[in-house]
Amino acid sequence: MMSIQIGEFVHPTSVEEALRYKGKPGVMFVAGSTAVGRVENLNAKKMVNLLTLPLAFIEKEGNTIRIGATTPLDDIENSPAIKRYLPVLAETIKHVAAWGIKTMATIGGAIATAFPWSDIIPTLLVLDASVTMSKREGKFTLPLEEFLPQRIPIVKNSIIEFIEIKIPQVERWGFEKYAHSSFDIAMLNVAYIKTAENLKLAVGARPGAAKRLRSFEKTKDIQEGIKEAELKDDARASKWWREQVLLSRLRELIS
Amino acid sequence: MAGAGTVIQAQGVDIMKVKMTINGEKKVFEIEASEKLADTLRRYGYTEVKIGCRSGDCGSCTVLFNGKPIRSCLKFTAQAEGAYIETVKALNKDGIHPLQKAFIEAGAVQCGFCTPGMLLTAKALLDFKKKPTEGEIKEALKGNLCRCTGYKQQVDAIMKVVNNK
Repeated sequence: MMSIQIGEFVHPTSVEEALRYKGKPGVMFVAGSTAVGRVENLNAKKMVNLLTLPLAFIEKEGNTIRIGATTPLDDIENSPAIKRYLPVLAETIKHVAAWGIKTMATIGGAIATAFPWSDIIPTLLVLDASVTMSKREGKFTLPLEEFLPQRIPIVKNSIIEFIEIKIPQVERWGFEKYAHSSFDIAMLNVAYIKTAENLKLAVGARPGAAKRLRSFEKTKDIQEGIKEAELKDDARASKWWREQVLLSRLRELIS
Repeated sequence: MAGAGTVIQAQGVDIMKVKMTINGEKKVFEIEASEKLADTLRRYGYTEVKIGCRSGDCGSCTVLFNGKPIRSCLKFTAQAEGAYIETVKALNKDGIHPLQKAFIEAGAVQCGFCTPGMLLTAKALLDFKKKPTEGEIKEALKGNLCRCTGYKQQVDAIMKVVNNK
């Protein structure tokens, strides 16, 4: 039985205004509502609508792309700038859920929820994305890799403003999702980029949260990479299956 | 969108007023803050919006929100202030829409529950892309589940419309 109780919806028009609601008891925040909208039991005095903030943008400045937190995934996938400068991100979003979800889900929501099966997070990790947020004391930026493990306490008092990515000079890139169907969540996903100097690789749906395989990136030792990925069994796939798939991907990548 | 809705009290529950345009007509709806768009639309008589899973998985509740398909079972109505919404009834305002005709001819409708969502997703696709490939049609429709037809008939119907353009 669903029980959704919301006392009031508020529509801030600036980050400063939205920050006034942070840390207050009984206050929840919603952007695309693909996660909050699924919650069956919810009781909030106030629901703060993040979609009224001026944070839906994609901009390029020099060698940097900034994507505002409330930008829908569909806009990112179809952005000419993303297709041209960050094709691995556009390709990744092709594999996310369905069109009717991608028009609602936001990039800020994707990193704030950081579901372990997220397709976007492995790709943002190999792109060395950083996250800029605001709290009452001011703005601050963290590499995504540092933000993810501490995101829950951070977002209690902060608003994610944008993600920033330095455009890499890529020789080869890829995103591979393994799932029971194209609409299902991943049993394993792998994102990589190869530049002249190095290989960057991240694995998600391990089934734990996505991680960069930094030792493998340095040593190119496949067995080391498999160990580092810390793959496990879950209802969707066995540890053995995940290891076999990753093994073949790592072999192919260093050949 | 700022300041969406006037809040009034009715029987101890906060009621907001939300303005939007539905199928070309301007409307003002009185809603509770917790209400989802699919429920509001159905409550105001737009029963062509079907609710299947309530979790964004099946696509039955698809409506076009400023021209793009969304899951109206997930969207809070309070976030729809000022939006332009199209339900499947927007398609046949000037007689039967080519997509509807093609669906009928291809046998793409059986129980009909998924049909409004399928048609709206197809309409949005053709609005954004004049000549989508079969692969692009399948990709666009992959979130609209049909338990009757097996999908071939819908893809064939849309391809027919594309080829007749």
